[in-house]
Amino acid sequence: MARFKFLVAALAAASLWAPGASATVLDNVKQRGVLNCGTDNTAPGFGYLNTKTGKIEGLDADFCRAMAAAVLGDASKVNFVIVTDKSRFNALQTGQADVVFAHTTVKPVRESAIGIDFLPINFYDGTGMMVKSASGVKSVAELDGATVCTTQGSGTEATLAAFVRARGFKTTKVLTFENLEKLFGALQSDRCNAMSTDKSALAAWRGNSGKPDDYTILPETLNKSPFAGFVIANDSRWRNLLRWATFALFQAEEWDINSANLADRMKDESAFVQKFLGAKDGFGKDFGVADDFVASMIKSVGNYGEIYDRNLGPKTPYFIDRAGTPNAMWTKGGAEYSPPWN
Amino acid sequence: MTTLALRWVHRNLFAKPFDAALSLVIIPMLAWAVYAFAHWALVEAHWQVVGGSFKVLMTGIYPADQLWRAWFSVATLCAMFGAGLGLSVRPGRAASTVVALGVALTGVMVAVAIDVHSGMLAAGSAALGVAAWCGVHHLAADQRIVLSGLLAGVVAIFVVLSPPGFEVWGGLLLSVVLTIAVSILTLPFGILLALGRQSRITSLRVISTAYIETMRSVPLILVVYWIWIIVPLLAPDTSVPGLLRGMAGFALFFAAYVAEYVRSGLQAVPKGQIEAARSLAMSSWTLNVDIVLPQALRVVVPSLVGQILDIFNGATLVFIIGLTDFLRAGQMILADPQNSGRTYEIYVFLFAVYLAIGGAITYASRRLEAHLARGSR
Repeated sequence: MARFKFLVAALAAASLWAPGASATVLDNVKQRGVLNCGTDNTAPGFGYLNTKTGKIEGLDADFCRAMAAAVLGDASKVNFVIVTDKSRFNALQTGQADVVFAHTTVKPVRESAIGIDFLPINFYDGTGMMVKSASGVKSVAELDGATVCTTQGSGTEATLAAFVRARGFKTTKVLTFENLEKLFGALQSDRCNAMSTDKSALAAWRGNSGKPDDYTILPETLNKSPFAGFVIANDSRWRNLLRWATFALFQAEEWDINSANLADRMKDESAFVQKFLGAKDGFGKDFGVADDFVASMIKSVGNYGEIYDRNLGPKTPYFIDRAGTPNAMWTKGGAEYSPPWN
Repeated sequence: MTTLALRWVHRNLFAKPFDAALSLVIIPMLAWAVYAFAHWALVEAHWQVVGGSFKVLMTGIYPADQLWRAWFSVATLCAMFGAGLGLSVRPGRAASTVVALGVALTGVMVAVAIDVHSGMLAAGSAALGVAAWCGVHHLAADQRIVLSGLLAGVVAIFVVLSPPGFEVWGGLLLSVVLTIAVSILTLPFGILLALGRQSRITSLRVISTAYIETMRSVPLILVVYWIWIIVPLLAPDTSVPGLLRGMAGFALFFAAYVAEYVRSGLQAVPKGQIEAARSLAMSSWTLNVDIVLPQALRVVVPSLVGQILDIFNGATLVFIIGLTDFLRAGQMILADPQNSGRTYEIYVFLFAVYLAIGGAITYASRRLEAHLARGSR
């Protein structure tokens, strides 16, 4: 048994060691000329296949494209490695993916025990509530005395119980259902006044219901489930590049630099903006990529706001309002924040 | 005519009070279920989603300008299926009528769902299958020639499909090709394991037995996932495509089951024959290849064909290593906002296709059993 444990430990160590054997992922990617980016293909709004165009779309997929544009100067030089909740960490550890964007919640054990480093948070998910629009409910404060439903044995159940206690709702009932499908069915049939689960999942069920306008996702978020991309641990050169590439997407939104006005902004009067975009003497060289890597990203996928609106904005079926949530820019009271670029 | 029908109803449904009660409960329920489903399928359902996403369902993200490769595979598969059928089933008048109707229906359905061009290709492929069926039967072709033809077909499919890269394989195509490749790979491996388990050499016997029992006591998904992880760790600088790793996992797993089927066949061969062969100083090779295996395999062929169904149904598990099999392709389509609210249409379609393929395999297995039983009478 002891020997067996040793074998397992050796295997685990080897799994962490193997990709580290090569100097940095950055060199591998540049040599290969293609970024292997892990993403889901069945997550509405985050990573899914557009059957008309045959392209993978979604917030996560656009982050893959942005990273390919940053590293290789071309957003099309991305190879989507399809991962699932089960395989996403192993795909990275075994070197099959250079970076993974797969609606993954940032949690301490994932960095301490699994051997990955998270990139900046690019979407703040969390438990939310969805009601029928006809009910006229606009805020969770109005749910006193209502029947609120969720799935059995999920973390949401505990969140919901704490929420009901904290608000001092006396007559609010919490019902649980076996799975999301039954849960949504219960909301449709008015057995529940509100259904509660992760907001991204609420948006997907609302969008896929056929009549999205019949349902409203309430603005409040009851707990935290921030999503971020991640790379293999102990490769700071690679991680720092992608970290700042992600920040650049936030900064571009803050400075209102988008894919439409990029050409004008390259000639901006502000020296900070010119340096940021790499029009002259940019940041790229020291990160080991082209000086105008930020401009490449904006040109192909746009700033963070454009990416968000394309996939989760009001014109999509999976609309998740940014206003009043951490997904808003910090200038608007949200948490999307880039350290300064100067 | 009516009296005949009435008599049939009386004898089969209302013969005894208990039968009558049961019929009165079940028949209306069944009728209601059929009516509800038919009403939904014919009136409410939006079947355009199946036609619109047919390409993805069938081939996943296989490049659209390379689809001729997929059509080549379809035609080859039809011809292979036809040739296999030709060995055991006579293309009689009833069968040919059914098949002719099937060919026409396939063509029309595909033509309506996608376009006329695809409909013609589908009908052509099905017709090719029928031609192979009749051809093999009438020429009374040698089994060995047909079998090597089938192998050549599989190799041809792989060669033609692979240029755009294994990672773009998907949909029903992936499920079917994986099933066929694994079914073929497991055969030699499984036979060797079975012989090893029966061997008089102790080390061989222990290793084979340990392998078979290990594989049979772990779940398929574990083996597939394990192979998927272990290969890049053992060979970090080579990139073996996920599809090949998945196939390896399936082959390693199902080989153990093939070995057990073959072992049961080996045990069915009378001991006296083996002793007689040995007393004639026959070598182990000649003994196994010429005397034991032909008889043993004949007994287990129906079980092996049945196992193809297990492999095909198990192929849905490859989604966990990032491959887009038929079921996953359906889920992928449902994740697209353009197809929102079409859950039931897609799943009913998946169900129908799985049922049709499963039915075909079960039928083939039964016919083979009957065919082989006739030979041994």
